[in-house]
Amino acid sequence: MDFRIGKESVQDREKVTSLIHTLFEKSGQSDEFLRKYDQGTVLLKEGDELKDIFILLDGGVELYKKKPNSDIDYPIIKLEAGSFVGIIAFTSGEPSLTTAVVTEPSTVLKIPDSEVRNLFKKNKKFRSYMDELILANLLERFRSTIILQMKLDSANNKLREERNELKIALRDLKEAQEHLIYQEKMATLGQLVAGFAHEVNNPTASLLRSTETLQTRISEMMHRIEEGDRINALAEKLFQAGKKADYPDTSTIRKKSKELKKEFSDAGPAQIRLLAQIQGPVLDEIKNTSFSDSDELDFYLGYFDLGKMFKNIESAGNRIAGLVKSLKSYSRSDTDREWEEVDIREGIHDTLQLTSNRIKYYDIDIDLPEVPLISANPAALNQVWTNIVLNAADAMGKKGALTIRCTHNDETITVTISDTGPGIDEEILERIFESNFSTKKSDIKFGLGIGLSISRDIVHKHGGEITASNAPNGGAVFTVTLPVR
Amino acid sequence: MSKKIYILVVEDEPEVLDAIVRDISDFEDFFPIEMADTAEEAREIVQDILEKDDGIGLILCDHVLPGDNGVELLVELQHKEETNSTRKVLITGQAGLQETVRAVNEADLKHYIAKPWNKDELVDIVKELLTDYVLDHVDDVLPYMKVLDGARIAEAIRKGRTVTDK
Amino acid sequence: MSKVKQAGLLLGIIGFILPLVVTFPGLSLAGHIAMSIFLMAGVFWMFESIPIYSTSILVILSQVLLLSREGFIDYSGLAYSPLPYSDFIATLASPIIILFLGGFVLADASVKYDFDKNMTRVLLRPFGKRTIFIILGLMLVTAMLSAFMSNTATTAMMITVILPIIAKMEPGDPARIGVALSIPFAANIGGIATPIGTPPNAVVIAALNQQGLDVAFSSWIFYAAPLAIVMLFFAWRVLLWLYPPATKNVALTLDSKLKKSPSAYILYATFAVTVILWVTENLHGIKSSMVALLPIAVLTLTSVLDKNDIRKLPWEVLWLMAGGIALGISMEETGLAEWMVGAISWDKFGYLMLLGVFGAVALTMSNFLSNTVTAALLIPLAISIATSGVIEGPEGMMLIGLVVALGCSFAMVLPISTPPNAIAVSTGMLETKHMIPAGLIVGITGLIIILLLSVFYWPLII
Repeated sequence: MDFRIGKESVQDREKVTSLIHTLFEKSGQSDEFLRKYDQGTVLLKEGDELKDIFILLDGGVELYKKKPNSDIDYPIIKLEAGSFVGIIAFTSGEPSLTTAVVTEPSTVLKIPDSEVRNLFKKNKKFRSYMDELILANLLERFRSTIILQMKLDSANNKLREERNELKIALRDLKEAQEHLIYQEKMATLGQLVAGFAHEVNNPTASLLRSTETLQTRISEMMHRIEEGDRINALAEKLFQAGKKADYPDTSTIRKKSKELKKEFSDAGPAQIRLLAQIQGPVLDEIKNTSFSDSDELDFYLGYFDLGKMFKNIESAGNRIAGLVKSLKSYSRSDTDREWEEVDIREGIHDTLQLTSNRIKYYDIDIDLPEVPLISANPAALNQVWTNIVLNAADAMGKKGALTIRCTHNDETITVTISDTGPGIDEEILERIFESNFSTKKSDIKFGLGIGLSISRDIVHKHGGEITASNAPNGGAVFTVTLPVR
Repeated sequence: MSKKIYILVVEDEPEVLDAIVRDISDFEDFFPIEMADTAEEAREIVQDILEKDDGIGLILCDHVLPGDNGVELLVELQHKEETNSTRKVLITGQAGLQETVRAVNEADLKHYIAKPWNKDELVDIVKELLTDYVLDHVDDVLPYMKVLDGARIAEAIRKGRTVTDK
Repeated sequence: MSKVKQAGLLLGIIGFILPLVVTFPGLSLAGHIAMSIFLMAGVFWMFESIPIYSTSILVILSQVLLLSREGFIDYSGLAYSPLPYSDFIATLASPIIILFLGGFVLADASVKYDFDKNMTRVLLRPFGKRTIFIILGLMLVTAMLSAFMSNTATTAMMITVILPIIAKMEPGDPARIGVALSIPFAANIGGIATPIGTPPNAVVIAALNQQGLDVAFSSWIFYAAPLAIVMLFFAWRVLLWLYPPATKNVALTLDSKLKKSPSAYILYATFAVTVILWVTENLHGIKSSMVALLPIAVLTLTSVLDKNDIRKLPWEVLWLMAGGIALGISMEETGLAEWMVGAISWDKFGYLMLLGVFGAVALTMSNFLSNTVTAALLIPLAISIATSGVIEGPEGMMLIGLVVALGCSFAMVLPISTPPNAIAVSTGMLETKHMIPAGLIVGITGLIIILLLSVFYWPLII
């Protein structure tokens, strides 16, 4: 390179270009090479072989480049007067890297590539001017690159910061998930408590009403005894019959009532109803006894009713006690330790007790042979059973059958719970254990959607595995394996 | 005059059914009581009663039943012309808000009694609702005065002038 | 239809046919026809095989077809001169019926605008809180109201008043029975005080009118009110004696607001004017039946009562009365009543004995039958006796008429005796066995007082 003009002109592209311009004018070649272009004219296309070089004397040109895999041109840089359009292609010989488009009415020296060599030979000045122009342009580009590099550094720093922030966010998310698990537990418990309350309300009602009636009957009896009536054999038999009486269903009572009405034409509806519940030889004895009036029949039937009250109270009381016991056992509310040695069958039974109001109309088939005790968190395992059973109830609707089996070998215990619902779509069999997966609609109580994923977490914590499949004749099967430890 | 007015009680737990019927047995002299333990059976009983051209004044219904539940039954009865004016009451240990709202909106539920119930509350409600029904449907209300709300019946006689001098 | 009613239906038909196939000596053809109608009506009314107002229409129908000038039977040449059929039909709107219609209109309007309740509230206030006086107050108010309104409507309203009182009493308190009984008794007793108080009065008055005896509204009150007042106090004491109250005081709360709408004021004014005009009939001479048109006109033209209210008036009671009146006419005109009376030689009886017998028969029959029907069946006979001269003159007729009318109203022994009694038993507050002793005492005493009055008081003022 021959730097004729000296250092200053290297910095000053405009000066160089005007020198080149003058040079051409002097030599009279400017008409040949001088061009005026309007805005929008495309000087070079990316990828083209360089045919001409353009020296921008006046105006503006913008360089565009296509992004990879795209057809859109992106602006790279704006060139001003004094710029050499096509410089990279010229110096490297490669096809043009950019597309050059005129942005305002411009004056340009367009010299065909082949001509440039000629001009170089003819005109040493031109050559040196070109050298300096090229250098100036390259310097310019270099400067831009440095600036770009600095921007890149700062971007990297930002990224590093953001990465740290993301780590913190992930930790927070994990905390939130645990919180959700807790909520799910509470929600399930809420469901169970509601079910429990319903179940318990029935025997409670029976208990309270029976007790009140009992009080009335007993005071009536006391009254009668005062008046001199004595309890006789028939009354005693009726009392015992009442204590053992099973309550037949309403259609049986209706049928029997119709028949009894023919034999006991004077009896009132309440008396017929009681008579319809008396089973066994006592009923025949009553038929064969003649009563002086309705009050006397009432007297004897009262003893039957008395027996029934006692039975009702006893059975209702037992039922309540059983339900409360199940609830305590299920939730392990009266122990502090979470992990114990347990027989998992207990938990399954407790679960069935407490969900009984959801499953009472299904056929329930349980076969649970003895299994070894394992170290487990029973309250958590009960969550799992509950989850599966309630899902089965939702799937089956009003009618269905629930089958629970467990088997074991030296290393694992396997529990299978299957239903007769519609089964699970093959496509989603894998995904049902994912968080937020739910096929239920927006019913808040049920479809939190993280039930099965939490169940899986719990089973994993026990070192086991839970899978879902479809039974050959329809219905879903959930299989839980737990290691014997 | 010979048209009978029934009370229908639908409940699947036998002891509870027994207790309910016992509590309202005082009304039985005037209002025969029928019992059912499923919605399906209740439907049959309703059919039988309507075929004899009698009426159903009141239905006391549990919600949790095998098969169709109580609210469904009540909505069905509401849409049937002959049982549209039957007074409908839920006695239940569990019916969620959604179902209760449905019963109120679509079945004209008149009262909701939670288990366990108080006998006096039950008797009062039965008396009030049967009085409503009788005043709507019966011409000669005089015989019902002592078993139903006497004051309302007397007032109906006073204003209705259905009993006159002879 | 129940077996009893079926039997009645059959008997009634037999009764109708009997005089047509059997000849009774001394009775004219018309008389036989009248007997057919009388027997049929009597049986149907007693057994209620068909509604009692229906029987009444049947009576008029039979008369129109068989006893009227335009009917199927030709009476030319016979003793009986047939009445125009319009005479029989006219009973449906005879002056006494119109008088009752006026009373009904006032009564129904009073119920519609709660005037009866408001009057009760006001009139009961001075009686304080003590149970025994509250009972008296209830009885007086009931009697006053039932003198102008139907006994049954008054009873129905007063029941709503006493139900809360009784509810606050202890279950075993005899006063519950006493209070419950006081209402129908007072209603029955109060009903005798005015002509419009109760339908038997109408039947008797109409029969007397038929004989040319006019009874002014105010005159009747003079005759009957003293009996009512005396018997009211007597009944009060009897009830207190039989069912002494255990609670000393009674809290009486009556919730009713005096209606102040223009319609209500029109009612109050009309009511007052009508009653005043009725009660002062002797002073101004305008007949009470004519006055009765006033409330009918005023209350309907001002829409105080509208078309629906008019439909709800107890027209069947008017028909019932009309039939009774018509029956009386045919029994008199055909000579049947005379013939029936003639079968017994009444002159052997003393005059007082005669009154006593009729009174006792009226009292007994009406305990089992409707009061109006009893009056309708008896009054033709009673009047025949009077006209036959066994009892003297118009005064005699008036006396026996009063005895029959008032005797019918003292039947309070059983729930079936009178609708107010039935209502009281329907409340469940008392049973028939509580009603019987009180009813017997009051009834028999009433009869005695009636007889006393007929000896000592009425002859002076009739």
